[in-house]
Amino acid sequence: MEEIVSVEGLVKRYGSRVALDHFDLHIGRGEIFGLLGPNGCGKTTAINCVLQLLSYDRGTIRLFGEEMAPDRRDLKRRVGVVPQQVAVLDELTVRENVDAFCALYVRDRRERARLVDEALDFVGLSGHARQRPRQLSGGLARRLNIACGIAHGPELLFLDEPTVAVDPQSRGAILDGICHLRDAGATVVYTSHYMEEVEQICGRVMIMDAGRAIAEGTCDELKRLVDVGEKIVVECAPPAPEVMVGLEGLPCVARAAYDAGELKVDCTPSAHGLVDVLEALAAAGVEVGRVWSEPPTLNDVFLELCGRELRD
Amino acid sequence: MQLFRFAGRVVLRHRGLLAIYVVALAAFGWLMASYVGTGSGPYEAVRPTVAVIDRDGSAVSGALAAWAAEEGELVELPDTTYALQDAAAKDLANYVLVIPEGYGEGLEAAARAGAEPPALECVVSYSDARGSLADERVRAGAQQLYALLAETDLTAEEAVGVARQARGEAETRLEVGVIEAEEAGLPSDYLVYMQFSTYALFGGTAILVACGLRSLGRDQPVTQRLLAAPLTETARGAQLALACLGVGLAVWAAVEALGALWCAGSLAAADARLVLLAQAPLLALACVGAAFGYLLWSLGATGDLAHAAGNIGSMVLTFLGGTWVQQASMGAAVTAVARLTPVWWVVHALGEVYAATGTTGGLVASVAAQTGLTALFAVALAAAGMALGRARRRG
Repeated sequence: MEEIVSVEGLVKRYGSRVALDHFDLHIGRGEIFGLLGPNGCGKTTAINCVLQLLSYDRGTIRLFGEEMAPDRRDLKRRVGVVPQQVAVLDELTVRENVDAFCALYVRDRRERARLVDEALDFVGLSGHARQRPRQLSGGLARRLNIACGIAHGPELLFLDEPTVAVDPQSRGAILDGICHLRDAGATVVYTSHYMEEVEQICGRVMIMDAGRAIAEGTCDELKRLVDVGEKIVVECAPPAPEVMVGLEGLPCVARAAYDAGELKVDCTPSAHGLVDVLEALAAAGVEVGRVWSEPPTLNDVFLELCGRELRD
Repeated sequence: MQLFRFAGRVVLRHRGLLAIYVVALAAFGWLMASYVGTGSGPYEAVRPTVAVIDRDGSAVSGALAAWAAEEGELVELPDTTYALQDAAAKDLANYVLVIPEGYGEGLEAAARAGAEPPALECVVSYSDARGSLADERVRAGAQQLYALLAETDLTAEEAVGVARQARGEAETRLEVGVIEAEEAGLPSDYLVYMQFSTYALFGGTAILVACGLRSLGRDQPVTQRLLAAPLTETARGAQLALACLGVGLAVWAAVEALGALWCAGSLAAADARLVLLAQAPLLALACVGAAFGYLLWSLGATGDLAHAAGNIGSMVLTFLGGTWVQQASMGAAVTAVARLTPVWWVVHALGEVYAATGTTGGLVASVAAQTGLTALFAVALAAAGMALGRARRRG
């Protein structure tokens, strides 16, 4: 697969603090690549270095097979960026905003008009073209933010948490749109704190922490990397302490806990322990209500890798 | 030049700022110019309104009443406490003279005995000095009568007759008129307009630049998009600087167009070359305003700060420049400070063009030098803006 983004040994320091520590990143054409990590792990710094918005201390960055530099206007022309904040101008209408940002890439007015129309159609804002951004709802403003980043038809698109504070309907529309962009040939780098989104649309995922990549692969590969298995939840009365001890003694159980009327059992990786757990409860005379089992999620992987303690 | 157009479009959307800092401020200059007018017209002496309450009825009081009436337009007032208080409170007459009962006899007796004359009661208007002038003249008449009675054996009636005769002979009527000065290079109302337009040209431009371009500032969300766009840092900086300059040019053009429209009548007869020459320092001042706005913008000034800095700066500079108080009326210390400000040179240049009767090489050279000095302020402020902006980026 043709490599669209290639980052090798990237080091970025802010004084004595190392924001990126020999960071590597390789993304192929047509991928939606998820970049995950706790706040301050270096995701945005990495993106800004790739976009040449920040200088860096060491490392090489290649886009489309060519070395990226601040004056590589030809490469910048092929890249789009959707910042985390809604980065539009309240002074201009929706259409004027998209046109103004598109004009930084496309000079031909007719061509631009076509691209702006397409972008507005794509994000479903054609009916709001004459409105000012402040008249839009949060979801529509997010879609405008995306339209401003994609109007010039970038081959490589960086989306920095584009669904923050967006209702489920708008989020669904945004995620569908991103998949359409990929289908149209674009390569997407997607950062988010919503793990289910990343799991839904990203082909490959990198989890970052402290300026380094700590895991990379498909979602299934990542799940296999960590000590996380099936989760079983059983509605029941509080089991006796010896029952809890007995459950944790089962080979398929990693840990068990009772909280708010639910017994939560984390299984070991690759183990299916539902039958064993229910048999153990029945043997102890525990009457069970509803029972359900969930496979491990990316969220579990993330917490396992990055830890559950609160970050600054 | 996409970013230049983009920035221009953003600034033009700030219609409220344009209305206040261009149209309204220009209109203020026009109002001031209308108030000052062209300065010519027939001379007319001011006459106070006078009310006389004569409680004496003597020959002396009659003479004083007559003299008071000669000083202005007589107003009838009833002799009641309420009416007198009302007249004083509402300023119904510039001068109210109350001659108490027995005043004539008292004045004669005092004059014969060489004692203090009795007092006259009066109310003088607080609104202007016309009442005081009338009072001075009436008291002068009373003193004249006192002197005649003190120095001669004339009766009061005879003294009044002599005094009347003397006043009639002594009165000299001066014909007063306006001497037309040599025709000035610019109409005075247009000069006043231009002097007041310095506020809009400096402060208006600065505020429009700082507030209008604020959403394109370095610490704003769109920055990442702008920096990621295929523009070199030099091109980006140059286009934004050009946009600031464009705002200055637009404000200058709008303010001067409004001035030409409002002062069209008086400008019709003016020398077009002098009018054009006067535009040079004003244009340079608009550039200073743009550079100051760029400095504020580079520093990431908030809207409130930009408004405050623009307005306070304009007030100080226009005062020091001589818009509110003539440069010639300023003290040496103020003038020394004022010379370090751009508006002083602009107003000075405008004064030279106003006083000129034709376009001479010396005049053009002098105005060009003062325009250049003004432009230097723009260069200095823009350089400071660039340096501070760069320092902030690195910081």
